[in-house]
Amino acid sequence: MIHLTGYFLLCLLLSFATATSAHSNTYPDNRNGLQAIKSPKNRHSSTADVTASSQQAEQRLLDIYHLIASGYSSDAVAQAASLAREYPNFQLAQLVYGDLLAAKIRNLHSWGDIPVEWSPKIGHTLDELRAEFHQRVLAVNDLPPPGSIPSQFLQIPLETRHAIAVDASRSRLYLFENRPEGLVLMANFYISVGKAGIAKSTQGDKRTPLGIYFITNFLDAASLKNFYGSGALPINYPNVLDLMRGKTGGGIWLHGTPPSQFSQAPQASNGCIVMANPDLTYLLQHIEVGSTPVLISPQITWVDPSETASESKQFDVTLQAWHDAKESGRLDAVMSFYMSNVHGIGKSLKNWQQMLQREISGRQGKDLALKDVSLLHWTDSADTMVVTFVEDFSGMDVGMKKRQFWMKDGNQWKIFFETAI
Amino acid sequence: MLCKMKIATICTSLLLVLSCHNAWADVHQEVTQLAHTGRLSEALLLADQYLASDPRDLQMQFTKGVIQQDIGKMAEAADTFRQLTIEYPDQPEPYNNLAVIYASQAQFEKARSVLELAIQSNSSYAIAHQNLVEIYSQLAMQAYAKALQLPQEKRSIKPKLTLIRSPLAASNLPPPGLADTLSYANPDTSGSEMRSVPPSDFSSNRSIEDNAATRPQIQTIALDAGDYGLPTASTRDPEKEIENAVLEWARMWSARDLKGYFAAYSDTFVPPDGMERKTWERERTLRIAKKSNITVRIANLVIHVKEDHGIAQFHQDYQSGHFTVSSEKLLEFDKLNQRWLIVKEMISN
Repeated sequence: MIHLTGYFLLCLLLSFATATSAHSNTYPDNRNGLQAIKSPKNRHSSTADVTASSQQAEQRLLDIYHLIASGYSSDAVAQAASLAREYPNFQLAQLVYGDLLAAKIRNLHSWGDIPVEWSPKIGHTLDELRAEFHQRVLAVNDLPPPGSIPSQFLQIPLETRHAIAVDASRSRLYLFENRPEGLVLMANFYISVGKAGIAKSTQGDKRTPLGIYFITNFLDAASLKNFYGSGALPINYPNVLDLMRGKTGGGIWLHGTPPSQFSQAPQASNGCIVMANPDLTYLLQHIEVGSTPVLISPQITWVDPSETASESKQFDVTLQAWHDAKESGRLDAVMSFYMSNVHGIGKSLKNWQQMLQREISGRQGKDLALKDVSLLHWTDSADTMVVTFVEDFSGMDVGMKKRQFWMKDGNQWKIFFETAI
Repeated sequence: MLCKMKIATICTSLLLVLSCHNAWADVHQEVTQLAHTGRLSEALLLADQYLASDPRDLQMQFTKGVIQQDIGKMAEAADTFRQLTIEYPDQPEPYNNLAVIYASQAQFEKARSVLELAIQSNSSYAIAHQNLVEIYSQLAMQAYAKALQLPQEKRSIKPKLTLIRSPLAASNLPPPGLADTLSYANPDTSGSEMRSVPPSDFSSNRSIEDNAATRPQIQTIALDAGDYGLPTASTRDPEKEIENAVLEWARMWSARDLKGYFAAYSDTFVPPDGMERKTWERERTLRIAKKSNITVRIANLVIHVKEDHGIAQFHQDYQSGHFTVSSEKLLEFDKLNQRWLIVKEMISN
């Protein structure tokens, strides 16, 4: 007998300069942490085996609730039993199994109908499970329309083979594969952010930063404590924009979970982005250190790529103008694109000038080409563009990879930081 | 001569009995045959004819009920089976079929109650079912403990299962173990209906405080909380202590343990209607000891406690044999010498 009436029935501090870690040969080479991987070895094909991630377990969990709702309670119990057995540390699976067992002998009064006398002991655990469940359901029910991408991804060259977007409001991470036809969503997982939420600004504030970052490194399980699960992917917080704004703190990683837990509450970490171990493993196999962007947004606006085409084209014009000026050696014209020494970030105008002068004369009039241009548009209190490209001098074997940070100053886009990467 | 006559009488009687039995078998067979070939109205007619002369025949009444159900005469079928549960309260089959009809009418709570009676009607199944319930409860606790990541003691779980002493049920009465066991209470479900759970309707706005306030406290099968490293009732929690006192009182009453029953009452207990304490005890002794079995079930237990004084209000189902009475009760408790004792008992309808 099942009584289901009324049931509705779930980074510590580390300098990102030091990147020494023991890793196996199956993982990407990682010397200075910022080198993009040119030749993928031991990679999965692009028709990715998503079943290796947590999505299967999550889908099975939601299926169990669908079975309950459809009246197939015996099937639900059987499936919950096997899910709980296969993922003993998946707390939501244990909870639904507990509920289904309890429903065999009494009416349930709430989702997660634990004995009343346990309440003082469990503290917020049940609330957290409820929140996790809510977030999972929310995200699964609200998947982005096929072919849509985050509005921040204006242009991503094919050389950048993957991109990551995190939507804090959905507690979700979206992994894209960059194909000739455009960005394709290849996986999405439930993730946790900082205990105090998002918008990190200071060291120890237990918040996850917002903005556009890049994976600087990868650390596999062998070199880490159990706490981090199957591995970690540090990102470059604070980025240049963060530094300009005086933000402090660091050691923000994407990492897994300790063995006792499959997943954590939506707000659980000290600022890191935490995910189930199979998901972290999956990421490790599908990203490139240095070039994979990580967008962390309070709530992603999903757009069809055509919607941002004109924005992208407009900026291309500006970038082209900068490039033309540089190629033609017109120092004054090039200089007009640079901002002076913003909050100690970047250089003084004099220093930019010196740098550009050196580059121009070093090129000795040879043709300059811009290749593999990436445009990532981050807007908060300021309008910024993270631009990455390869500067190719004709006749050279390998171009120089550069990253620029532009900010809209009135009506004009200007560079406040530029560096070779 | 006499011997021959006796033998003849015996033979004739035997023949008579045999032929009667054959006649009985013939009619039953005919009715069944008619039903199988789809001639249901005819079958029903024949059954009624037979029952006119032998209205208490279990088999024929039962067959009639099944035929009525097949025809679609649900109300009549329900009546037939209901009648059988009264005439033959120890047969599980009529209860079962009555439940099937209730379920077809979407009366799920009624179906559940009746199916529980079906199981209770056979004492061996009743014990097995009770044991199964105990096991489910244990498994549920285990799963919940894992879900909440509560520390689990390494020692094995100790469920309270009942052993069957003999494979043959000696009497129609349930064995002592069952009558003394507090049966599992059914919390008030009025107003609740089966709701589907489309994920988009899920609301996360309920806090655990909401849940605790709105739901009635359910009496669960007593588990040793110590198995999970949790604080046992005797520490710190007066509400829990009073709850245990109420359950203990009901347990003693059901077990007809007079010593234990009276021990639940304080020396300062004021009997109702101004009765003298001795008179009240005498009356209670008569009322309790005389019964062969008593079952007391508690539901919707609500406790208010302030310092050394507490009030417990609950729904009480009393059953002894076929006599049942439900009432809303109130017990007032005082804490004396570390124990909660009853000082007042009232019906609070």
